[in-house]
Amino acid sequence: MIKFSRYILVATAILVASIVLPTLFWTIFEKVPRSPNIFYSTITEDFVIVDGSKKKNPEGKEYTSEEYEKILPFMFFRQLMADGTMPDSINGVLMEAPSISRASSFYRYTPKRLDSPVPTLWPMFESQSGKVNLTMPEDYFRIEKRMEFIVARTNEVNEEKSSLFTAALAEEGFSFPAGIIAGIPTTRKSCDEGYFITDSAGALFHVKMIKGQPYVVRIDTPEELDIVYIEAVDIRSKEYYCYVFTRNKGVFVVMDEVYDLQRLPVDGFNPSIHTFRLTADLFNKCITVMGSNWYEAIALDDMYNVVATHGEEWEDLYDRPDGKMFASLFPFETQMRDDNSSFVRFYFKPSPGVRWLIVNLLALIVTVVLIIRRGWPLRSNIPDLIITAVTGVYGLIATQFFPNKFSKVKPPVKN
Amino acid sequence: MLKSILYKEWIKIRLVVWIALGLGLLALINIFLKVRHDIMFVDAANYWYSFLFRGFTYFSILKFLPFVIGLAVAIAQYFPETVNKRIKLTFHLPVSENGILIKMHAFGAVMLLAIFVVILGLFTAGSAIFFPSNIIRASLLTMLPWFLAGMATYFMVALILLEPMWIFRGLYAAAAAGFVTIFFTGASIGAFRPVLLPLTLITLVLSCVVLFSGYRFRKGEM
Amino acid sequence: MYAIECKNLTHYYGKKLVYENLSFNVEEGKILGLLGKNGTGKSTTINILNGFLQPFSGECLIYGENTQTLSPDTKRRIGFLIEGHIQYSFMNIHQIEKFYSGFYPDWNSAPYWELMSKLKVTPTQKISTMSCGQRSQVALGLILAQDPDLLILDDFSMGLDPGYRRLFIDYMREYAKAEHKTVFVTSHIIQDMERLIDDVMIMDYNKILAQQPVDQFMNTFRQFNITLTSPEQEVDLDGIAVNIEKVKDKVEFYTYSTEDEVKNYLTSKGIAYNSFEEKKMSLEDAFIGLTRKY
Repeated sequence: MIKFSRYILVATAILVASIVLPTLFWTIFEKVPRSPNIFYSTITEDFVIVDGSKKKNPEGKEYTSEEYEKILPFMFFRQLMADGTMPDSINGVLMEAPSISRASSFYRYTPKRLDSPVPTLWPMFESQSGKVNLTMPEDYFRIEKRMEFIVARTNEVNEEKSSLFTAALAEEGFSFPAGIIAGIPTTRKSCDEGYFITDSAGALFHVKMIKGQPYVVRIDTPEELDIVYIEAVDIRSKEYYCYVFTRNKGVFVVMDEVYDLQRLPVDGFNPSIHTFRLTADLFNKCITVMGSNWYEAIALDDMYNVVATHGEEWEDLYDRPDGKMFASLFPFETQMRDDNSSFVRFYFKPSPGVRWLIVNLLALIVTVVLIIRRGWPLRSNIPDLIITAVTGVYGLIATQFFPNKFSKVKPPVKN
Repeated sequence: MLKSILYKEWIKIRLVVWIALGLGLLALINIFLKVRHDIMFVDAANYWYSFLFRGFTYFSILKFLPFVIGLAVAIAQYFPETVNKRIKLTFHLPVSENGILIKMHAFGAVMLLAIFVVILGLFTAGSAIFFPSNIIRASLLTMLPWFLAGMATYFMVALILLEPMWIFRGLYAAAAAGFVTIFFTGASIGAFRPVLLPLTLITLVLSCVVLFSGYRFRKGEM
Repeated sequence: MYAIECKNLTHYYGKKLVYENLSFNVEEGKILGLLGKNGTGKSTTINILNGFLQPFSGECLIYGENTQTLSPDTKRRIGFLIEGHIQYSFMNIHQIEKFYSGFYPDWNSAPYWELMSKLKVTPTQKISTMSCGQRSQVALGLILAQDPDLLILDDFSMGLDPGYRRLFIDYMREYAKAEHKTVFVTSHIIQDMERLIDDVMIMDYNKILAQQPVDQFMNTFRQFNITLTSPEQEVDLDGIAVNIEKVKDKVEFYTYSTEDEVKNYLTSKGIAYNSFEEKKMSLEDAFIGLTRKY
């Protein structure tokens, strides 16, 4: 029991060391990783890559600031109009500020969205109140065994409204409880489109409230989609309601009013680890899927046809000098937070390769020397040696913080 | 015999227990008076909104209270034992040395747990007046790491106090500080959910580490 | 029958040797005094006896059990007074009596309350607010109530007024002899000690200087004072004296030899003296004679 208590302490110390030491290391040595932004230019019909302060085309030709603004007229139209350099028309379309801004949108997805605590109560707005401004409802809904509205002021369920909506959902074949609930729970939006909700069977529904009455649409999906994340958007073009991310069947948008699912041409996109970006303008959409050391940019025309693609890859963390140094010092690290999640977990990250073996060996030698100097027999310290050999610096620190005093000491050498 | 053991431990920590409960009660009164006040001023729907979508935690005053209580109970219980190495008296009693240490420690842990259960119970009861179960559940999920931190602090501080050598007290304190910090990793509401079980298990096994210091003491580390 | 048997104790603190191959026994019913200056290993011995220290080698047995692994039953038979009369000072005299009584089935509170009634303390007064003398009475009272067979008293005289010390010693002697108790006592204050102990063990750095019944020690260990005929006379008494001090023509020395042996030795060495005197010693004088003043 007492020996056991020591190993608990050693294990705890290893855990703490594997969190603290790498944090210290990265704070001192970490270099800023590359994270380029990619746009598609209707003017050059090619990508523009913004990497730090550099702007260039895929061939590496650099643009000056003026050139850069000129080839992305939709992004900088205010500046170009002020300068008087905005073309009157592009591709035969007259350039007007309202239409440009209506067509422009930007959306960014990070894996964090997928792996985050989600609220289980949502406000259901009145979509057609007849007023210009949306108002905050006095109740919040949850969808568990049924759909329930809870009035905040009294903290009680509004039975009438709950039954009304539950019945409406059931009528469309909704199987309770809900899976994903996605909406824009704020009054600061152009209009309300309610919520996109998956049921326990994975089917997709659109639910909103019109003049106090439930409005439920079951959205037909082309095949069995394993939907993992939905994000409702409020884009001014009203082209689509929301983005639908599936486990491995790609990314879709649900088209406004007609509820068609439009597949976006991003193959190999993994919502758990990849970032997704979409910029839209009057003529094109530019999608960038990004991993830790690569990106794939896809340009689409207004009919969602691919017009251009471009990809790049660069040194991954552990190929960089700072990452290499880390992987030579530490066999692994533990983090409580991760870039791809909002949840706190023990994120265990083994260092690639075996370069850390040298440091582990050094730690082992130090441990052996310390044991011999204290006159302890090596035999009864084998577990400590194994721990140090496997966990390296962490094990060395942990076994010295909580020394093994269970072994009988040899008498010191007499002078 | 057990009665005598618990009697002594109770004499040592009773003041701290009552103060802890008093502080907990004050904190809860403060929380719910403030909730009531704010709901009157900003409207309940908006108040819920700030919790659900703005990450506003109406109970954040409780964040370090369990840590402080755990620390105080450990000090009240073990500091008097370390003054003049008084723990020798305990180890000299006609019972097994580990057995009595385990009983003392279990008593402290149970008292601490009882304080926490009372605070969390009253918190849940109070929250039920203003909030639905969804918000209460998310709140408890967010607070649980703080209360686990209180338990872990108690276990680690006992280890530190009973350790006979100052240098190792320092090293243990460093490890303990690193470990307890985990529970306070800044995170949004409910973010600790996946790690609660592992953290609970680690805290649970840490309950026995005080034996390590007890053993070192008995084997003459001075 | 021995209450305590220690065999071949060797212990180091780091690389510093405390003692090597120390062996001693304490007979049942006897009072043994372990005397020595501070830092000579008294506390080390006590800690080994109580199982708070694992010696480098050797072992101590109490009632036949290794002190590292004393069973609760044996611990029940041992009364332990910690150096400085340490007790749970956060309790008052009622609480502490209630606490200890739970551990000892044969608890006899009468002697405890008898001692307590003589103290001028209030019933709710915490032990921490009492004087050193009062605390010693509390600690003593608890041991008496426990009624152990073996009493281990670590430096009990420390911090006690002469009155309390005398009171403690006389009470302890009478009690031990009447109840046939074994007592192991350490002290660095020797005054009054001969009133208490049967056997003496005198410890110096790294070694035992004397280990025998106190009567025998007092009868065989002697101090002689001589005045030399000539102050320039070289005095070499290595053959007989354990300790010698010479100031001009006055020589003071300590020996286990008899007067005749000493005189013969002086003659054989050709040491001429004017006066020869054996000085009567107390145990304290003998202790200083044996361990030297510095």
